[in-house]
This record gives sequence, C-alpha cells and structure tokens, in this order.
Amino acid sequence: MFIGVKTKILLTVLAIVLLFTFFSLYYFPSQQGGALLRNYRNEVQNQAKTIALGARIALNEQNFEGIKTAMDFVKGNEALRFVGLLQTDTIWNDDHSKFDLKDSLLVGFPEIMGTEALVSSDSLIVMREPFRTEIMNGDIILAFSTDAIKYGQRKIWLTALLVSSIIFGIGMLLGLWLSRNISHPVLALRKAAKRVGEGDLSPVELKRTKDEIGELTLAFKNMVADIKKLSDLTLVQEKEKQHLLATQNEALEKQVEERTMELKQSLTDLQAAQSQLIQAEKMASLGELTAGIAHEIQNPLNFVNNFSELNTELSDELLVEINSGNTEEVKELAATIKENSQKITFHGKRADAIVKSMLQHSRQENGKKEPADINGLVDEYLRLAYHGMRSKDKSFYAKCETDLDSTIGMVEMVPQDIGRVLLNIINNAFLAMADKKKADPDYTPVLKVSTHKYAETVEIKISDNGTGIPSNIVDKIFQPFFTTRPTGEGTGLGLSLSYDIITKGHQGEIKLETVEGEGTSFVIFIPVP
Amino acid sequence: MLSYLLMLKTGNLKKSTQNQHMKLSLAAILIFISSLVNAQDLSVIANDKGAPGQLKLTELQSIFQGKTTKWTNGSKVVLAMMKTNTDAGQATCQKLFQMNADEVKKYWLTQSMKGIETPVFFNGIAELKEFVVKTPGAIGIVEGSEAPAGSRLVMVDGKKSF
Repeated sequence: MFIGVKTKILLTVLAIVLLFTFFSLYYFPSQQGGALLRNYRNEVQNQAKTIALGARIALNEQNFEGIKTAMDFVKGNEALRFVGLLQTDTIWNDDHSKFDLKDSLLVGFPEIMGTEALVSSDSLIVMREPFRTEIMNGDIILAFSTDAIKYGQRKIWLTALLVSSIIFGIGMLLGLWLSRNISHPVLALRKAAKRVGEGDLSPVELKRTKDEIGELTLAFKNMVADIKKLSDLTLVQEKEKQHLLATQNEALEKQVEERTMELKQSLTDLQAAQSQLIQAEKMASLGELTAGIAHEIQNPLNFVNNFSELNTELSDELLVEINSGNTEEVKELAATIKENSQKITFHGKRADAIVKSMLQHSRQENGKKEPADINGLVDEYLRLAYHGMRSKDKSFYAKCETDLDSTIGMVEMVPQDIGRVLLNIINNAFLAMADKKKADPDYTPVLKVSTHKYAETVEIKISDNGTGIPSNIVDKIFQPFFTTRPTGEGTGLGLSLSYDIITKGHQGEIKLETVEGEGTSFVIFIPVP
Repeated sequence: MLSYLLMLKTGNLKKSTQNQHMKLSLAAILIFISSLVNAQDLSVIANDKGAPGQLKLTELQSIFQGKTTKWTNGSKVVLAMMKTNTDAGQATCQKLFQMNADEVKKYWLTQSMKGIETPVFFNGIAELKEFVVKTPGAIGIVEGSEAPAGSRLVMVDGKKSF
C-alpha cells in the first residue's frame, strides 16, 4: 500500500497530537485532580493538627490564643461542615480488668451535627487528629466539603479540555502546515525527477526552501543542468557520428552498388563461362560417345549395307529364276529377300534409336523427370562408354560384369542426366583401369556394375579394380574444375556436375569408396516414391 | 484513705491497679491541700473603664464564666485570672466555677472552641495587676484587697473580698 509523504507527516502529527491530547484531557486532569484532593486532605489534616496543638497548649499552658486563632481560621472557611472536640474516656469494668474507650462530643460546630454521620465520602473529607494531655485525651474532628475540590477538578478538566482543543487545533494546523511545507517540495521534486526520467531535461522550476529539502532541490537542479549539458554534448556528438555514419554509409552504398554491379557482371560472365563449360563438358562427353556411337551405328549400317547388297544380288538371281520359270527357287529367293529386308529394317531401327539417344544426350535444356528403365540405361551407357574407350585405345580390354536387379522397374528420373553421370563414372573407371594396365601388363581390368532396389531408394554401384584415388585428393574430386588429367583432356566438371545431378536434381546421394592401387567404387542412391 | 494507703504498703493490689490508685491518692491529697488554700480571700480589681464598682457574686460568676461579655457602657469584658496551678487560681476555680482546675481548663477549652472570649491567665499577681491597669474593660481576681494605681477594687456583695 502506497502512503504518501504528506499522509505520513499528517499521521505522525495526528498521533503526537492525539497522544498529547490524551495526556492533557485525561491523564493530566486525573493527576491534577488527585493531587488537588491529596493537598486538600493534607490541608484539612494540618488544620486539624493545628487545632489539636492549640488544644494541647490551651490545656497545658492555659493559653487559648492558639486554638482561638485556629478555630477562627477554620470557621472562616466556607467548606467547613463540622469541627468538634471528642473526649476519650476510659471506662473500666467493675474489677478493673478490662476497659472500653468511649468518645463523647464535648463541643461541636455547628452544634446540631452528630459525629456518627462524619464519614469520608465523595462529598466530604473527615479528618481526626488525636491529642494527649494530662487532663484529657481526645480527638479534634474536622469535616470539610469537597465542593471546592470538585469545582477545582471541574475547572482543571475544563481547562484541560480547552487546552486540548487548542493543542489539537494548533497541532492539526501545524501538521497541515508541516505536511504542506515538507511534502510540496518533495512532491514537486518527485514530479521533476519523473519528468527528467522521461527524458525532459528542460530547466526545472522548483522553489528552494531553507532546509535539507532545499539543498536536495538545489543539488537536483545542478544535476539536471549537468545532465542537460552532457546530453547536449552527447547529442552533438551523436549527430556528428550520425552524419559521419551517413556519409560513410553513402560511400559504402556506392561502393556496394559498384561492387554489386561488378559482381553481377562477374556472375553473368561466370554463368556464361559455366554454360560454355557445361556445353564443353557435354561436347566432351559427346565426343567420348561419338566413337561408341559410331561403332554402334556402324554395326547396323554394315548389316543394312550387307543385306541390301545381298538382296540386290538375290533380286538378280530372282529375275533369272523367274525368267527360267523355276518357281521353287523363286519362292525360296523371295523368302530370303524378305528375311533380309526384315533384318535391314531391324538394324535400321537400331541405328535410328542410337541417333535418337545421341540427340537426347546433347539436348541443351534441363529435362523433366519421367519414368525410365534404369537397368536399360545402365546397360546402354556401359556399352557406349566401353566402345568409346575401345575406339580411342584399341588395345584396351576390360571384363564388364553386370548384376542388375530386375525388380526395379521404372524409376522417376531425368534419363539423359543420369546417363551423363553413368558415362562420367564409367569413363573414369575405364581410364583408371587403362592406366593400371599400362603399368602392369598382367593386370586384368574388371568393371562391375550392379543395381539394387531397396525400400525407398535404388542403388547403382560401379566398381573398378583400377588405380584407386589417392587419399589426399579424395575430398577434392567433387569440386568443380578439379582434374588429374593433363590440360585439355578433361574439364574437371564431370564429377562436380554428376554430384549436382544426383544430390540437387534427384535429392539422392553419391558415395565414394576407394583404396589407392586397388580400385574405386561409386555408389549412387536415387530415392523412389 | 488510711486503709487504702495500708493496702498499698502491704502490696495487696496488682501493679497496674496500684499505679492507678497511686494517682487517685495523690489527686485526693492535692484536693485536700487546695481546699485548705481556697480558704484564702480573693478580691476583684478592675480597670477604671468598664467594670462597675460593685457586683454581686452571681454577677461575678456570670462574668468569669463568659456569660456576660460586655459592660453596661458597652465596652468589652476582658477577664484576667491567675493560672490554675497557683493558689489564687485554684481558689478562683472553686469560688467562681465550683470546679477543679482541670475542669476549668476543659471548660475554657470548649468555650474557646465555641468562639467565646477566654480569660488571660497569668503566673504572677503583679503581671495580672499590670494587665488590668493597662487594659480597658479588664477585670481580674487577685489575692489580697489592694488595687494598684490605675485600677480599682470592685466590691462583691458589698465586700472587698469574697
């Protein structure tokens, strides 16, 4: 619970005033009333003693001035209700063994009053003072009314009430004045502090009082002025910094713009170069294919030519036999011609297919995925690569072993891209085996190609027993433009493009396992839905 | 009395009782002696102003018992007496109050408490006489029948002494 300074001061003053009021209204009158009563009782007692002393002197000295003066004094008091002289007589029994003391009133004023009713009460103070003389023993009995005391007490109480009221009034006014004088500067200071806290450093208008709060106000004003100076200085410095920053930013932006332009130009150049390189790579692979393709086309063409020539000769023979009317021979020759024509058609179609495949391989645009026979693709590109290698190196011979999983079926892929990957890897394998063969004539190159279907992927594994890849360059072989071939023989993009085709184009994976001097295996994983 | 003294001598009484009885015996002896003294004559002297030349004994008793407080000329009656332990004092008690000395003391104590003017008691005759001479309205009881100068002798029942 928040209690403000003003409330606290008011509550404190109120507590003090109430405490003081309590003392002045209850405790003080009670104490004073009690003291008044005690004093009054003492006074009555003293008067009784004076009378008793006067009585003793009168009886002993026969000097009655004292008692006369004392009686005159007592009787002059309006509060006197009774004054009397009691004689105490000793009454013995007959055999003088026991006695009783009997008080008898010798004289009293006023005379009509008896002593039996003289008992102290709220309205009456009764005092007895004994005196002893040779002549008589007795008591002076004195009764005074307490009206004067009550009046005095009432006056005290009224005075206390008046004083309390004045004190309460003055106290509350003082409290209000104090709370106003103390809390106002404090609240103004708080307000100013809040304003400064919110960032408003304009000059603070605060009244300065001649006390600690005034000193605090002055210190606060000085502090705000100092903060303002520092803030202004900081602001100027900040502006200078911002200006400098803006200038630098402008210069940097300009530089960035220039660099961006340069980079854009570089990128354009690079993209052009990349396209050229990719095209070059394609052309290179096409060149490598050409030999194989030529060999592939040559075979059907040979068949076409041979069977065409044969059919020409058979046609001549057929005419001879028709002219000779040898029907049986004609029929036999016609069947042979037909059979040859069918072979010509078969081999022509085969050549056509080879040409189409070549065209597909050299197509520029990125192909779309389509269902393809991965085993057929592997078989075709293995043969193309082998014949291509053989056309370049007539002495090269390799044992090619295939283990193709017939359950694979059609797989979604870009066939020409996968064919390019297979061609790259197989060509590299043949080159590695050719290198090893040159070093070791007894060596027999063996290339194993296998496919296997798993639950979510299709695996193509191409393993050779060639030279293997040195461990220091294993990490680099998928990097663009990295090649171990002599300058002009390879672009260094074959495996890099193969990696991109498998990982980015088909979301697959390509792994390399190699042992230097023993061979290399590339394992390709293509995901299947 | 003799038998009582004999009892004291023989120790037939208890000690506390003996003390009481001793006091009573002494008092009786004193009363006896005083009765002998009382036999002496007393006379009344008065200041020239106030008291009349002659008074009856009853009037004198009334005056000395405080019942008459003013003279016929309106002046205040001022009483002068010898203290009760003097012969004249005791004789005065006997003749004017018919009381012993203690009773007179008690009498004047009660009177004083009532506000009645009390006598002025003196140890010596000369002092009393001087007081009467100097105090207007004063009247005193003395032994003998001579009034000092400045005072006069008041006749009681036509006699100088009573």
